Order: sequence, then structure tokens, then C-alpha cells
Amino acid sequence: MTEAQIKETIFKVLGRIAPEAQLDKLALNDNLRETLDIDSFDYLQFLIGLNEELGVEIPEADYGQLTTLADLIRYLSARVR
Amino acid sequence: MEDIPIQNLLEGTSRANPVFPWFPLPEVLLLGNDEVHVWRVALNVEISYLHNLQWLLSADEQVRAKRFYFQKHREYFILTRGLLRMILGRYLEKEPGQLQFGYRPYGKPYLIGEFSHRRLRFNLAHSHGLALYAITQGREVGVDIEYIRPHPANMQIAHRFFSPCEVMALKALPSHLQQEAFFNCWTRKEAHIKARGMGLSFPLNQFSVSLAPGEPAILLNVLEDPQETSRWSLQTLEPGPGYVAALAVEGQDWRLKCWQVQG
Repeated sequence: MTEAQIKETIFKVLGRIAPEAQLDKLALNDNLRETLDIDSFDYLQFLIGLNEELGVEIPEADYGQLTTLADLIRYLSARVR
Repeated sequence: MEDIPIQNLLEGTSRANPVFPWFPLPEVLLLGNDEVHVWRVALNVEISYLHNLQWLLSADEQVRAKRFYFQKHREYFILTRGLLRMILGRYLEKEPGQLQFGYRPYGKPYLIGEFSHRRLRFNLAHSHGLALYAITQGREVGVDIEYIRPHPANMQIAHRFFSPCEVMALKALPSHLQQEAFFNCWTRKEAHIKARGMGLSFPLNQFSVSLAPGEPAILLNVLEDPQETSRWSLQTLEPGPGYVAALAVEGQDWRLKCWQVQG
């Protein structure tokens, strides 16, 4: 899977918790939770959605390093099959 | 600085539940060492009021407000942060704009500078237009509120993030109680990690809380350190119809006072 496809999948899952957002305007280095005001509950739903779509389970210990869109793409690219 | 009254912010919610006591603010606000105050505020204010609150924010808060993607999130941030400053200013008898905040590693704010020695601890949460602020003297505190909404991923969240005994307790309930029980569990767990200044990287399935509707909120166990169960306590809050909320406080020997903000 390419980085572009991973980004598209992230937007698809993100769109479920922030349906009004034009996500293509998000900058790679925007803090996702702060920029879109995603609370803990929605964030966990987001991670579950990513797991469903990409088959990557993200352990809690790694949440801290997944702040921006760029972080997520990098992290998922290294793990997605 | 312009004096901004807190007015009618709770219109429509003040009569929400006659059983759980939300009192009007007293003339003199005293916070004892053995007290926890919770303020309930509806976030439906006039734009002009919002504009006034914006001027209470520090430069870094103004920058943070500008980063929000949606206008409504920007407004909620200005509102909740401005109100936090006003509430803390009332306890400290200081101008809200003078307060300075530092941030713990997971983003929990605390007072710094000349106010740090006052031992005021606080935490806030908001959901679906309703905010709760918890204030204590020298005790760590966490609060969470959620508007109950059905979501297909709720059970997946439970399986992935709740402890085995919580999942078992949830499944044992009749189906019509499970949604409220799910949010009881979630808000209690969230309040607990917020009180401890932790983020979601704290393993949520490593501690258990009670969850059955109508039963007291209890921290049942903490796997990493069983002593933690006696260090912390939990309390159900009733912010209004359709909402579930919980308070986590350091220690057991404290009394709760709940204030509703109105003019």
C-alpha cells in the first residue's frame, strides 16, 4: 500500500468522526486532535477504524508519537501489509 | 480590564435533575481542603460575550485558538478557557487574564507563577454544549462528561480498551442498560486518567471501575499498584438528561459541592 493510499484511508476513517471537514486542507504537520478537536472517545473510535481498514493494531504505548498526519502516515506505512 | 459577568449560562439546564443538587453560586465562595467544587456551565453564549472572553486568553492560548479547523471548536476553546480563567480568578481573587498556565506532559493545565503556591487544582471537560469544571485545594482531580449517543464502535471500544471484568459486567446487563453503562465506564475511566495527569497511552484495561446504572461509582482495582484504589475515589455526577459524567478525586475524605452558573 502506498503512502497516498494510507493517507486516503486515514481521511476516510477521520471523515466518520469529523464529517464536515475538508480534510485535504489539513497540513501534514497539524496536530490532528487539537486541530479537529477530537476528544479521547472519538480518537479511540478513529484508531479502531484504522485497525479495521488497515489491519494495524496500535498499542497504547505508541499513541504519544502519533500526533500529526505525517506521524500517522509514517507509522502505518511501516506496519501495513 | 473589563469585568465580565457570568450570566444565564445555564438556562435550560438548571432544572435538569431535581435529585442531584446543583446550587446557585453563593455570594462568598470558599473552598475547604476537604471540598471538591464542580461547576456546570451551558456553552450557549452570545458572540459578544465570546468576544469579551477572548481578551482574557494569553498569547499562546490565542495562537492555539487560531489553530482549530472549525469555527465552533475555536469558539468552544475560547469559551471554556475563558470561563476557566474566570472561575479560577474568583477563587484566587485575581483578574482572570493575569493567570498563567503550565502544561503536564499529556496536556493537563495547571497554575504557574505567583499562583502555584495556592494549591488550587482543577480539571474541565465538555460535551455537546455542556461543560463541567472541577476545583479542589491540594488534591488531584479529573472530570469527564459525555453526551450519550449510540455508536456501532462502542462495543469494540469496550472489548479493546475496557478490562475483562468490565466487559463481563457490561455484557451481563440487560441490553437496554448497556449504553448508559458503557458511558458510565468510559467517563469514570477517563476521569481517573485525567486526575492522574495521564493520557490515552495509560493502559485503560489495567484498571477497573463499576459501571451498572444506579450503582455507586467505585474504582475496583488497579493492576499496576493495588494501593492506588485507596488513593483515589470516584463520584457520579448528573449534569442533565442525556449526559453521563464522573469525577475522580485524590483521597476519600472529601465533600462535593455542585454549582450551576447563572446571573
